[in-house]
Order: sequence, then C-alpha cells, then structure tokens
Amino acid sequence: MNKNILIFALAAAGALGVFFSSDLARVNRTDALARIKASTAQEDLYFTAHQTRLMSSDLRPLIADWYWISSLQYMGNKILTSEGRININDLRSLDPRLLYPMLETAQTLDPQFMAIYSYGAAVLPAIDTELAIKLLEKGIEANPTDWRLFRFLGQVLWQSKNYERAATAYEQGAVKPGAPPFMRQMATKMRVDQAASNEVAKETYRQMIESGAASDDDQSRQFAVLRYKQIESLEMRERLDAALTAFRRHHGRCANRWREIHSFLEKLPPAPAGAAPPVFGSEGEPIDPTGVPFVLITGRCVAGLSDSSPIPKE
Amino acid sequence: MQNDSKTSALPQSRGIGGGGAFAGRIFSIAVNTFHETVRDRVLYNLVVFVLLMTAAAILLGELTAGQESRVIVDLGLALVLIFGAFIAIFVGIGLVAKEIEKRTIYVILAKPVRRWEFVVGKYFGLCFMLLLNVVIMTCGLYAALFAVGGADAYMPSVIGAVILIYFELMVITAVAVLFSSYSSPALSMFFTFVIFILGHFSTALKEFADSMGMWGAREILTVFYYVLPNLSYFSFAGPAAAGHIPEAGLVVSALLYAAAYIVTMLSVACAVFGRRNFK
Repeated sequence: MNKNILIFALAAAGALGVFFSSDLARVNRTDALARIKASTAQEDLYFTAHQTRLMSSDLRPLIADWYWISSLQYMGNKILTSEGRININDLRSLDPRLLYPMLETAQTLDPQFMAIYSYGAAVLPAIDTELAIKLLEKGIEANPTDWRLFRFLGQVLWQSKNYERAATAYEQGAVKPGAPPFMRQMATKMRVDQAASNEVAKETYRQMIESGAASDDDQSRQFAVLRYKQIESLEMRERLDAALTAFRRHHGRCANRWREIHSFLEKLPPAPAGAAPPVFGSEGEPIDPTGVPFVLITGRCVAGLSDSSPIPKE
Repeated sequence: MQNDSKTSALPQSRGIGGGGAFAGRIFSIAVNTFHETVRDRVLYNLVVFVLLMTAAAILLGELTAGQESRVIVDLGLALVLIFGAFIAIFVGIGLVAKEIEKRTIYVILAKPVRRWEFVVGKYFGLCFMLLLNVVIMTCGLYAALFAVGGADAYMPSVIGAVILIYFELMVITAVAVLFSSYSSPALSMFFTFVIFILGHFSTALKEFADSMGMWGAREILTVFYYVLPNLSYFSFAGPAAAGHIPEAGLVVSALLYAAAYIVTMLSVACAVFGRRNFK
C-alpha cells in the first residue's frame, strides 16, 4: 500500500509540475505584450491578467505578491543597468514595457493590494500616463468605496495637467467613507489655483509621503520625498537667484562666494507663504533639502544643484 | 502489536448500548486515531513550516519595499492550506483502508462498535490532528508577523482566515474518508486530490458550463458544479492580506455549508462502509 501511495504521490506531483510548467512556459500573447521584441522574451510574464482569473482564490494573493516583487525588481534592474542620468519624470528611455502588465496582473489577482496602486500612481506616469489612469480606474471599479484610489487618480491627473478631471477625482473621493478633509480642499485648489502653484504640488506630495508611511509603501514614499525635496530646492534656489541678481545689480558682477549674498537675502521681499527658505551650512554655504551644498554657477550667476545631490535635476 | 493500544482503548462491554454511549466510543476511536497520526510523524511538517516562515521573516524585508507583513500573511495562509490539505489527503485516505489492509478492522469490529461509529471516530481523530497542526502553524505565523512588526495589524484577520481554512480542511478530510471507505488508497488519493483541485475552480467550472453550447455537456458540468465542494467559500486570503476580518455571517454560512457537506460525505461513507464485505 505504501508503495502505491508513493507512486500516486509522485504522479500527483508530476501532474502538478506539468500543469504549472506548461503555464510558466506559455508566452504571453496579450495586446499589451504583442510589441515585445525577441530580445526581451525572457522578461515575458508567466501568466496574463486574463489567465489568472482561473487560479485558486487561496493562492491569488501570494501570486500577486510575486508579481509585485517582480515589478520592483524589474524597474530596479532597468535603473541599475541604464546608462546615463535617470530622469524620474520620463522613464521611457528605460523601455520598461512589462511594468504595466506586471502591475495589471497583480491587480487582477488581488484588487485590494493597495501598494500596486500607489506604486503605479508614482511610477507609471513617467512611462505612460494613460496606463496609470487605466490601472487606477480598474482599482476604483474593484474598490469603489476606497477614497485612496481617487486620491491616486487625482494625483496622476494633476501631474498630467488635467486639472478639471483631477478636481473631479478628488471630489468623488471626498464623499467616500473615511475620506480626510484634504480631499475636498485639494479639489478646490485644483479649480481655483489651476494647480500650478508649488503649494499644491507640495501638498500632493506631502499626502503621498504620509499615505506611504501609513501603508509601509516605501517605494512610493521615497519617490514622493524626492519630489517634495525637489520643489523645496526650487523654492530655495528662487530665493538664492533673486539675491544673486540683487548682488550683481548692486556690484556689477556676480558674487564669488555665498557669504557675499547673505545681506541681500535679508533685504529681499517676503517669500510666498509656505515656501522653503534657504538653509545655510557652517561655512555659510546654502544647502539643499538633502543636506548637499548648492553650487554657485558664476557663469550664469545662478544657484544650481550639486552633482552629488540625489534631488532630480529635471 | 502496533494496534493493541487502539483496540484496548475501546469499550469492553459486550452490548453496544445506546444514548450517549456511542459518543464515548467515537471519542475513543478519535483519540486513538490522533495518537496514531502522531506516531506516524505527521507533525514533522511543522518543522518545515517554521523554517519557511523564519526564512520569510528574515529575507522578505529586503525584497518587498515595506510590504513584508502582507507577504508573510499571504505565504503563511497558503502554507497552512497546502500543508493541511496534504495531511488531510495523505493521512485521510489511509484511515480506513489501512485498518482493512492490516486486518485490524476485524479486531475492532469484533468489539461492540458500530461501523458508522468507526468511520466517524476516524474522521474526528484526523480533524483533531489537523486542528493541532493549524493552531501551531498559526502561532508560527504570529511569530513571523511579530518579528516584522505586523502582528497587531494582521492577526485578527489572519485568525478569521485560518478558521475558514480549517473548515475547508474538514471538508477535504470528509471527502478523503469517503473514498477511503470503499476504494484503494491509491485511487482514493487520486480522487480526493482531483476534488481538492476542482473544488477551487468551481466558479470557473460554472462559467465554463454556462459558456457551453452543447446541451449534454452544459448539464453535466452544472451537476459537477453543484456536487463538488465549492472551496472558494472558505477562501479569505485576499481580504485578510488587506487587513479585513471576515464578517460573522460569512463565517456562519461557511460553517453551515461545511457541516452540510461533511454530514453528506460521512453519511455516504458510513452507508458504503456498513455494507462492505471484508471477507
């Protein structure tokens, strides 16, 4: 009897192996992947979003985790193997064509997996805004009462300068259970300020940082922190540039050292409310929000980011 | 002799008795079945489970960008189900068949024990073993979650999901006992395994049946859909990973469905076993 049990255990394991290996070997034929070149065949997905519908509901969340981890590694590898500077506003040069199919498959497997949406909202707009919107709309369809998805959608629409739709998304999210008051405030700001101000941008990224911390979504939080610091550095540089201009107007030349413009900074008109003021190091040099000193570009007489600063230059 | 303890633990009175006497006999058989599975080293799977959960707790932090608690929940619940299902199937199919093959069934049935009491006792014995397994695995899952700081947020939902998984394992065990009561272990394993797989795809089976144009095929698939256990009723891994707790109504309806299915399977098993000729 034991021999029979062993034989059938092996047969069952073999049958399972055949079942999974045949699916694993299946090349994805969906429209989204139809354009994949032969050179990237090793990056094909094992399962399409459509195929995953038939998977056991007990294992779907685990397989969704696997696709989520794969999507992080996929983008990480693209960035590590890329040549030249990375522009976080436009990642198309990395050719990350499988990112959306991976996230879409993970979303289909587990529509309640919120990190997929926050990651998609943070990274996909730099590849294809429409794909980011599509992912979030699928998420809203599956979780119509979750206000966070409306906030992600509003954020993506705001980034694509679609302020009216962004305001609508914030408004729709504001009436969902548990939605915080800032959802309605953001809708108003989108309509009144046309979302062009740094204040709106900082508020959007501040919400991303806070929600990332709340959900332990490190990727999205780090992305938002970087963008927030980028805006702060822009505000600091506006003040420094204004002081440099005042110095040149007064002395007829550009300043050679940062200490020379300190008195001119104090005489400048007040900065807009909420704008980050320049911060100075021990030797009087202005430092950016990451703690790296700004560089004085004497040729153009402006303040610039150091090459060693992690803040995006574009 | 290996089964001496089993037979000696059974009531020695010559009359079968009535009232609550059968409960005592079922309990004795269940306890002996539990001890037998412990002697068969079934609990060794817990070592593998603990090793996997420990490795997950240590390694996932580097890979999941802050989602390690969620991944540990998903991995832990999947392992609880897979390990439990393997125990239910591989041990369940041998519960009755082994007694017949070793001819110890003659010794047991010579005592004042009804055949249905034997089947039901065997079933509950394995359910006790599965309960112990599930409880220890849940403790392991809690330890892994505690290590990554997600215990408070996820444990209530994990416990809810584990309760539903245990219902599912009880259903699978009933199916294994049914096959074990009249078929060989090899065939029992095959049938139970197929039902376990198909039970997870019942929804797809229904969709497939609805899409069939051919009259006969559609009706046959629809019958399969209703006869096979719909194990998706017990699936709560996705919502549990999102921190949701199953509502009482969901748990009660799953329990009622499981109870109905188990009663049906065991009734058929008892009927078949009662008519079986051991000569």
